[in-house]
Amino acid sequence: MKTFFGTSILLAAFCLAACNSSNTLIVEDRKPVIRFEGGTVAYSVKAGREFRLAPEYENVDASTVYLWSCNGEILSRSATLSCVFDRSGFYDIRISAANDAGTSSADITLSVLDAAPPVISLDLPPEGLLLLAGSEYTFSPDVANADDDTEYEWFIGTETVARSREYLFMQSGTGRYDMAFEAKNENEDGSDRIEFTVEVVDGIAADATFEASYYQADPLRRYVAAGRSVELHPYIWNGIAPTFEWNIDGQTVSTDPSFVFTPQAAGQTEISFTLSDIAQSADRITRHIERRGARRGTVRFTVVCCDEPAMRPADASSSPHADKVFDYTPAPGQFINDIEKGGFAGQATYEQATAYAQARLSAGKFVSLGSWGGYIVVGFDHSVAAGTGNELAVTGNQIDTSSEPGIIWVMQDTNGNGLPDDEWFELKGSESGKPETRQRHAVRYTRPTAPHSATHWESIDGERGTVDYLASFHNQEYYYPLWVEASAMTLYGTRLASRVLLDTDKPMEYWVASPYGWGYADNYGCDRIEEWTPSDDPTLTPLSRSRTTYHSLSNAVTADGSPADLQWIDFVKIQTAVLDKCGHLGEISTEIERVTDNTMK
Amino acid sequence: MDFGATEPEPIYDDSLGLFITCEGNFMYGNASLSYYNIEERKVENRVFRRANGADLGDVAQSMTIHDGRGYVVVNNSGIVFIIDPDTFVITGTIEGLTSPRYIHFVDDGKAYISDLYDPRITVYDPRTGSIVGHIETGDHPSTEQMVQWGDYVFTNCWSYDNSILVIDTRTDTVVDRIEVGIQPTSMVIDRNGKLWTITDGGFPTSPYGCEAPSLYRIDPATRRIERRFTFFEGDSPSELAIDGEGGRIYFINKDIWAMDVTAENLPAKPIVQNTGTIYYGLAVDPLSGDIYVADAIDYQQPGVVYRYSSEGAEIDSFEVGITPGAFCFKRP
Repeated sequence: MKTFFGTSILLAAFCLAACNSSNTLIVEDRKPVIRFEGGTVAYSVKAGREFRLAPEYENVDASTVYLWSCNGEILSRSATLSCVFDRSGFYDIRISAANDAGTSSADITLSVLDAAPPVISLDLPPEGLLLLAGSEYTFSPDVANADDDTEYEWFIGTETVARSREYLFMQSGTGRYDMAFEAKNENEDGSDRIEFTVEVVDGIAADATFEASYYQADPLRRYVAAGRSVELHPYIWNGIAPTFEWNIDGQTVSTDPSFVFTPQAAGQTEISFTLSDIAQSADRITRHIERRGARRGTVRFTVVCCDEPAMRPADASSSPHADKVFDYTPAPGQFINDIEKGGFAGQATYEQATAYAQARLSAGKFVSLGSWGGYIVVGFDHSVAAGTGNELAVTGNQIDTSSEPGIIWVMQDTNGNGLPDDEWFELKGSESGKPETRQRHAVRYTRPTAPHSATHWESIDGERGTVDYLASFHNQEYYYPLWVEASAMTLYGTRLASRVLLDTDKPMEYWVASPYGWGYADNYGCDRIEEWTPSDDPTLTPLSRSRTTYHSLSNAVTADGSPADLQWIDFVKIQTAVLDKCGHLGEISTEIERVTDNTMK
Repeated sequence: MDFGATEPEPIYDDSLGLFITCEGNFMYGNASLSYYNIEERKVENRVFRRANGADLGDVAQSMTIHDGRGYVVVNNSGIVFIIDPDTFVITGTIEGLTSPRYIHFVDDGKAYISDLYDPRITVYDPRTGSIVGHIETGDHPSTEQMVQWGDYVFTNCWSYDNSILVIDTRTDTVVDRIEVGIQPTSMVIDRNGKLWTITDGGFPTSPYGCEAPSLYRIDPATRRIERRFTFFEGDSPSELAIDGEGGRIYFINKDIWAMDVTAENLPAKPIVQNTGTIYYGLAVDPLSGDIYVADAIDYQQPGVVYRYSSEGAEIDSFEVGITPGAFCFKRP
């Protein structure tokens, strides 16, 4: 009993010396340890809001002295920081904790952001928003000054339909829908609201767009050499019951969607095209028959028939490379506008963009054409004579597991003005004529309303999709070319079926863009062997890492697929031929490094 | 630009120096080797091609010097070149590799060669100059850097993986696995025997997932994670390096950062700020503490290497080959 009591006192004395009130043992010579969650030392808060920071401490007790300071000013003397900053900016804050063993400190940076109200922007077409019944549309408004605490609300009439920034709209009933979208930051920061009307219709009346041979050409003015024909092809989007009328000198010459015209003599011919359709209506059809109005639009083509154009033979001063760029219009894509990896420097006009492309090609560096339809037009300083076969050599960046084929088009300077405003002839390839190959295809890309976002597209066949934004690899704000002013860009050309597949044999996700037979730029095709001909067995092509393919001008065809029989060419256009994406590798995008006259070796 | 064979040039430098492996562009076969004389502050580029009259190959990934021989791992050529570190002349090769990444010497008689696709680490005997076996890594085909702690070698499985494998060098087999965050890219061991690794967090559209990148401090004895420091989503930290004393670690996260190995939290300010370029490689001179940063600029043009003091004051800069990625110090 006596011994036990004595022992207890000893234990108590020992405990008093070394334990704090919460029974944590303090080792006398250990300074405090300050730990932030996840070791994070960068924080942010809105001006006027409370900022709280509660670090984890070791070796502290009731007698520990804490000091939070910023630029010499004392913010707090407690273990936890709680303070308010009224002005935005960056603040360096230091916490120091002192015990008998010494003082430890840690530094953090606090970024104080302006508390500003949200600002909504949502691009709406000036003619009003017309959507098809039963189709899904994503509304993705841009909200400036939003943060994690911003609240969103979508309304149809007075009913709340969503509480997110993006809204998936789909209505099966026709009619007018009064839409509203609100964004609210906490309390004093304010809110914003937009209202707009959507008309949901069963069908949307037809619209026509016209392809220009390059961005400075007039799509309605066409030059054709004597003895040749020209196909006038309006691209028809949507349509309820469209009708077409082609008219020369007051006479209707065709009611087909396209018209092939063969001038009989030199000179100009005016041909007008009228598109008519039933006007779409949101009004519900009742048993009373309603007369719906008609929509009609007319454009006037001018076809200029020129004499046989003149060839410019190569001479000693000619360059074998087509380094003059007349038009660089890439579709949205991960390399477009990319400063680090695409070599861009903020080019925001067509002149700057073509100069960029020209400098890249002259230095043998790749130019990216972006997603489907993106293109480049280059010209030679002489005419490339046809006849020897393999007259054109095109260099891309293809490898055996990555082919991003580009359709090659060629043109003669029919009107002799040195500009690529004449007719394009497609070089046919292995996929020409196949049912899965789409000609006269068109895709419209819409500029995203917010930076760092996906680009939405719509095809003339009614398909929809996105060109994804890959933040970790290309973090320029927009993949949509900065020098295209319009908020939507429409691109034209031939579209090949995709050959993108996932190689399931590899241990990890491995995307492969398989090659096509022959006839395309940036394609690991059989024609990367100069000696190869279509009659060779494609499976016996020897291994070659060549990134150059060889193309014969005898493959040039007219709009209906028959041989164009060109004796020489002056301009080349290459467009991305596939519309698809490879997971984390992003969109299929043709890349071109060089276009060369292979007859000048 | 030269094509075709060239006559070998008798170049020679036995100074205190730094090799820089330049990857070149994938599939272009334009990898190169640079050599920087540290005292004279002069660089010689393409030393491999000049000394041997042959190209280095496709994607030079890393270089290690051991026992008076330089081992240059050329990833997409599937080969390791063994060169004389003073004359840069080829003295041997290690062939038959799939996609080699790094070589680590366990001792004078055994080296491990990691691989990106082959689910095996190759075991090589430098005394006989032959491959003597393999370490099966099974479901973890991507093996990358290697660090040794006692009888164990730790290797990080980077591509589409979140593992560090533990290899017993006495049996050349994998005996354990430590799970970390998504895609650990590099590793070092500090003077307190702690293992550090940094993860890149994956990427947004990856089927393997995406998370905030992190820095881990691991106890190799217990194989437990002691502390996890988290970065922000969208950060891309990489290229963990350590100084000669093992007291300070460095890494790239857009800027260049330095951190004491006893630090409780991440550093608040970088020691070198990024001016809008691509930092691709990082190393610290074990003798002087100088920091070398490889700048790939745009992965297209020849890169640049910057040399800083251990506090981030610029000392020198020099142009090297395309996409400089890794460093190897040579002591005379």
